[in-house]
This record gives sequence, structure tokens and C-alpha cells, in this order.
Amino acid sequence: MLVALSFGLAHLLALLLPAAFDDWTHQINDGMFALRYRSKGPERIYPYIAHVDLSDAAAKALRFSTRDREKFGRLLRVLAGSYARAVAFDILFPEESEPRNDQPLVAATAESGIAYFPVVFMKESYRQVFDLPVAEADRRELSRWLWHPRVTRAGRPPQAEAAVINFANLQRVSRGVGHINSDPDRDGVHRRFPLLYGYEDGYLPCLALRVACDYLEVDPARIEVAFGSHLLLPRARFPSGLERDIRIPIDARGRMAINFAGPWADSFPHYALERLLDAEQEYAELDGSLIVVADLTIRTNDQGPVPLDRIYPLSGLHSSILNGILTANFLYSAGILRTLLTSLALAVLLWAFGCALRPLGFSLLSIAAYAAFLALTAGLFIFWNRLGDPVPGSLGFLVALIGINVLRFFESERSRITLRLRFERYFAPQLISKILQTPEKLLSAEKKVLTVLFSDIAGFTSWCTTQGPEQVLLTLNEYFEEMTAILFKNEGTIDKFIGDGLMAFFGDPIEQPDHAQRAVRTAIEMQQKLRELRGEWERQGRLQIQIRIGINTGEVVVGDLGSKRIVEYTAIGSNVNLSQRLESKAPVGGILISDAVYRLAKDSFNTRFAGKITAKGITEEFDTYEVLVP
Amino acid sequence: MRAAVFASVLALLPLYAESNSEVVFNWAFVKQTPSGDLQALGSSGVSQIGPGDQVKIFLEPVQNAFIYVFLHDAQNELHLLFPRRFEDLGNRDYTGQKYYLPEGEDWFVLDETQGVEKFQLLASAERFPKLEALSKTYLDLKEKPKSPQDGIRIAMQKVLEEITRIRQQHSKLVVLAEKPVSIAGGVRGQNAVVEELAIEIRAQGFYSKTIRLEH
Repeated sequence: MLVALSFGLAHLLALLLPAAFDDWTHQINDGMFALRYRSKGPERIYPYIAHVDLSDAAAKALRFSTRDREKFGRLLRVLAGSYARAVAFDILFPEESEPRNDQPLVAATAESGIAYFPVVFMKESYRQVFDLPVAEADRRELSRWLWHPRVTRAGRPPQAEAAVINFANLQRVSRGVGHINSDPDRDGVHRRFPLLYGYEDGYLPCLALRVACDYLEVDPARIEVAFGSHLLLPRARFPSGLERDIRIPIDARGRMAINFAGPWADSFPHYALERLLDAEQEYAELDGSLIVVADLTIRTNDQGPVPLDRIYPLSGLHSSILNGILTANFLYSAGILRTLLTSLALAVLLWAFGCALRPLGFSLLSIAAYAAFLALTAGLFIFWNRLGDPVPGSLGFLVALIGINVLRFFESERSRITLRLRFERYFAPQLISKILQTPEKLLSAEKKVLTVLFSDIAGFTSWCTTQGPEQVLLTLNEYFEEMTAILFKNEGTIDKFIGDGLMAFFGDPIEQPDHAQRAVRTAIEMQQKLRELRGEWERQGRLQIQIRIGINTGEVVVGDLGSKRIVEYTAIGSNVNLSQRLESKAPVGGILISDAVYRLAKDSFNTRFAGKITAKGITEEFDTYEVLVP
Repeated sequence: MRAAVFASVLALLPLYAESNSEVVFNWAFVKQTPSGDLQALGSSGVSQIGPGDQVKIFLEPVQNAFIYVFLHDAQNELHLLFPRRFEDLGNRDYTGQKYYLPEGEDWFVLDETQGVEKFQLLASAERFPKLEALSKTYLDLKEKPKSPQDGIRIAMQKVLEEITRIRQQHSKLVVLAEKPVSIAGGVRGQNAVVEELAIEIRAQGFYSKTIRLEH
């Protein structure tokens, strides 16, 4: 019940407070990226993808800025001359500049036929704040690039209100355009990227998807989109001629989880811009390549955190998406069913351990099960690209584990208190702590050799008839109080009070090798104490009572006996009866012991032979001895 | 004294290693027109091939040159042109031999399919075991009549990717020296003329070239 409640509550909280849970889930999955990279190195990299970066060093060496469009034109010609298949600019050229600056880039774009340019979408309010113009021509131009894929399941893709596109002449001759709007999570980390952006009556793909579709000769009209499930590129054709469907997993907003191959420095090759611009030859390594050109200068600050890098140039998002598509190496989010099933498995294990195991074993095995759960989550990510959502399960596990242990602690304490209260009737206080360490020993009956002591007040019945009840109770209580103290001092177990009689035994539940000596010593002290009491009672004018004590040693059955409602810890058997018989035959004020007790205690006490007696259930007479009370 | 000598030897080792890793080989890529004219190809850009034109490749490893030549043809098929068997690269007499592709007096005759024929040449001071293994897998699959087409295509893609990966690993984006050289010795028949059109390549560790023939 508690387990079900804990896991149910955790999942309910995950449902009601997704933001809080998402942060934890993301952090765990970021850790998985790091773990995967450390254990396996970079993921598979499509070797044709490469970066050309306008770094601060290159900008300084070449006196190059993104305003120098002529140099970008030159770069494009070098790349096209080396048979690059596509050049995706992660640089926006929004407004026209001087024709001698613009024209080389426009011409190279038109002649090479391999250049792709970005579009930046924004809210209409932003456009107004930044005072960006909305040209009807731009809108018409952008509409030309929209896709109209077959949407088989509706979703919530981001919708663009306004767009910033490249200057018209460049846009017109480009091979294609794609949006570059990332969608970082609440913590600012870029993990997912919207593959499609809704605009007017169609969708604009992201830059990487646009390049990938051209590269793979996929007709956008044949693309199938099921938001919350997949985006299908049918019959994608690789340069080797291999044809296959590529199914990209996407969420309801059309976002693909980016499977970062590695950190910035250890994933895709980077070609030096300054060397390329100097070149006048063809580079074989650029043959068939897909190049992402980006401005990485500090001025641009186009960078952000990703799972494997705190500072990651965002042009790497495009190459990583492209790489994911071309290697068909995607990340798959944990569905609600998987999350629920793993939680259910964990809950069932906890429940089973809770039923079958003691607290220590339960805690250890539960923690081992949780470690296995975490290892499974990591393994699924590292080897099968399955992102986990272990937070609800972890929370449920933690609450259930703590809850079960707390509950068990209180149950155990309650049980100990009950047992302590019960044991105080029978056992000496100094023994109770020892007994409570293994209380279960008392709950089963067993055969044991013990020494049983019986005492009884001589002539009690006739004495009672002459006294008032208050007087009887006062005297008896005082008498039992003193006798009990003596018994407990010698660590005897009080079995019961039978009217004026008392039964006790030695040697259980704590083993006492000297149980016979203890019993005889107790009997002597009882008689001595009664002598003292009699002196006092005489002075007070109260009745003088005397007791008989019988002691026997032998095998008895000892344990909790009785019904479910009333249970007594007691000893039974013929040797108990024999003790009682000895008590009845003992002289008034004396102690009579059996031959068995005599053999064990004769060296410690003064005794004398007291004749033979018979007892019920024993065919032969047996010797008895009287202990001489000093 | 002994330590000083030892230190000197150690200091010289990198120089020796550097000079020893220089890849040197001669090669020629020659077109023969129907009229019998010979023309060296292989400069940058696409070379146009007309109907009836034939091509031949000449290779001569001179020093530390493990050479691989693949043809990615206009029908999107990949062929290993050199070496004929990878084991040949380990032969003692491999270096210094003259190799003609195709052998003897034969010439490659381009078929009617229009498109680009890409001859990919890799030369390195070290062999490429992974490329050899992938190529073997691909060629084995291609030879087996029952091999699935997808399997052959995947294997071919892996070879092409490995070639690109090797080129990236050795990419320095630097200009490599190419100069015409004369071939000493007797001149006999067409092959001798092909040799005359050869150029010598000297590169540190690695050299690669793609020759495109458009027809």
C-alpha cells in the first residue's frame, strides 16, 4: 500500500509539476552524455560533415568580418571547386550593402548551386522592438521555400510571426533556406531543435534538415510528419546508391533530440578559413562534403551550453542534427509507458523485498535494485540511445524506502514496548534488554533443563478467614514485593502467582549454568527475608506467616503458551509438578530439594537427607534433601 | 661519452623519421583519343572525355608509397583498380615496379553512360588496414551472386566514408609539390609513351587525388 502510494504520488507530482521534474531529468541525461562520451568516445560521425569557422584568429589575420561578403563569395568558390556538396551558412546577410561587396557572393551562390542560407523567425513584438521592416517581397520570397509535407498527426510546432531573411538577390539564387531558431530548455541548455517551423500555410525546415533532404534526394512533398512520433524521409538515397527510409523521432512540437556526437573539439573536422581562402587548388578531402560555415567571433557570441559542452558554438547544432539524420543515429525519449513500467517493476521489487526480508537485507537489496535501475537507465542510453526519465521512479523509490523503514521502525518499537511491558512481569529488569535483542526466541516453545521453585504460605486459607480483605491484600502484596525483589536479584523468571503461592524458574530465557545454585540461594534469601518481615509484623501486631519451598531440576517445556488472546510465558511438565510436590512436603519455614538439585548444589549449601517421597507420574520413590537455612 | 652519443642519436631520430616518411612515387593518368593522340590528365577540375576516348593509369612506387586507386563510376559502382590484391603491397618487389592499369596493351574504354567517373588515388607511407578490410568485404559481397543489393551498397558506402575519413585525418590544407619528370631507360610501344607523361609526387606521409572524367 505504502509502495503503491509512494510511486503513485511521485508520478502524480511529475504530471502536475513537469517543469521541476524536467530539470532533474535533463541533468541526469546530461550526465549520461558525459558518461557515454567517456566510455565510448565520440558517436559515429558522418565523415563528409565539416565546419569552416570564422574564428577571431582568422578574422584578425584576414581582416575579415561577416560584412565582407566578397570573401564569403571567394570561400564558396573554393569549396565548390573542391566539389563540396553543400555549404550551409549559419550567417545571416539581411540587408544589401554595396554591389561590389554583395555581387561576388551572389554570383558564387548562383554558379555553385550549393549554398544554403538561414532564416531567423521571431515574434511580431520583437520585430517591432528592433524596428525591422516587413517587406511584402520578403514574405513572398519566403513562401517560395515553404514545405507542405503530409501531416498524419497534428502537433504543436512553433509558429513564426515574423522573419528576418537574407537580402533579396542572395535569397533568390540560393540553393535553399532553413530556419536556425533553436529552442533551449528552461535551464538554457540546447538539447532539442524544432525540425519544422510553421509559417503561413506551410512549414520551413531547419537548415540542417533542408540540406539533408537535398543531399538524400528526398522530395519534401513526400515527407510524412506525425507530431509526437516521427518525421519520415522516404527513400532517402545516399551517394553510394543505398536507399532507405529515415524515421526521425520528434516530439509534439516537432523537436528532435540532438544526439551530440561529442564535444566541439572532438566531433567534426574544422577547416581553417584562412588556409582555404589562400588556396588555389582542389582539396580531395572536401569532395562530397557538407560544410557548415559560421561566425565564431566573440562579437557574434553565437554560443550556448549543450549537454557535453558549457560553451558550444551553436553552428554545431546544425552539424549535429545533420549527422544524426545521415547516420540515422537518433535519441529516443522515454515514453510514459516505459517510465510507468520501470516504476512498476521497482515498486514490485520493493514490495517483495519488504515482505520477505529483514530491515537490513531489505535496505541493502532495495539499494542494489535501485543501482540496477540506474545502471539499466545508463545502459539504455549508452548502447541503445534511449533517453531515460528516471526521476519519478527515483522519487517513488526514495519515498517508499524511507516510508517502509520508518514504518518498520515504529512497528518494531511498538512491538518492543509491548514485549517489554509483558516481560517485566516475568523477568528481572537487568535481563529484559538482553531478552529484547532476540525476542523471537521467546515466541517458540522448547525443551530445556531448568530449576523450578515453588513456594506457598503455610495455613494461608485458615488465616484468610480470620482477617479482613485489606489486611490480607496488604500483607500479601508486601510479601510478594519482597519475594519478587529477591527472585529478580538472582535473575530468576517469575512464572506465575497462584493465590498465595509463587512459581519461578532459573535457566531461561537467559542461559544460566548455575541455575540450581541460584534457585537454592533464592530460596534461602526468601526464608531469611521472611524472618525479618515477621519481626516487623510482630511489632505491628500483624499475622506471622511462614512459607514452604520446593525446588526441582529437570527437563521441562518452556515458552509462550495459551490462546491468541491470553498468552503466558510458562514452564510445564512432570518436573514442574515434582517441584510443587516437594513444596507440599517441605517443612514449614523450610526448603526441600530433589536429588537432582542436591547433586548440582550440595557443595554450595548445607543440606541433610530428608527421606524418600513419591510423586504422581513417577513410579519409584526418590531422595529428598532439606536445605539448612542459616 | 656514451650518453652523449646516445643523446645525439636520439636527437637525430626525428629527422630520420621525417625524411623516411616521405612518400615518393611516379604516376600518369593518360587519355588516348580515337586518332591516337595521348594527353596527360589529372590537373584540377573535370576532364572531358569524348566518345571513343580511352584512359590508362601508370604507377611506380619509388619510396614508402602504398598506393590505392579506386574508381567510383558514373553508374555509382565502386571498383578497386590498384592494388589487384592487397597482399601485393607487402611484396618485397612492390616498390620500384611499374604498374599499368589496365595491364599490358589494354586501355579503359568508357561506356555510353553519361556522368562523372571519379578516380580516387591515395598514397601513404603506411598501409590502411581498415580501408583494406572494408574493401575486401565490399568486393567479396559484390562477387557473390546472392548478396543483397542493400548489403553491397552499405559496404560500398563504408569504403567511400573510410576514404573520406583518411583524407580528413591527413588533411593539412597545404599545397603539395607536383613536377614533371623524365623516365630513364628504353622506350617501347604505347606504355613507354604513357610513362613519359608521368609526374613525380613527393609528399610527407600522405597524398591523395581525385580525377574526374566527365562524359
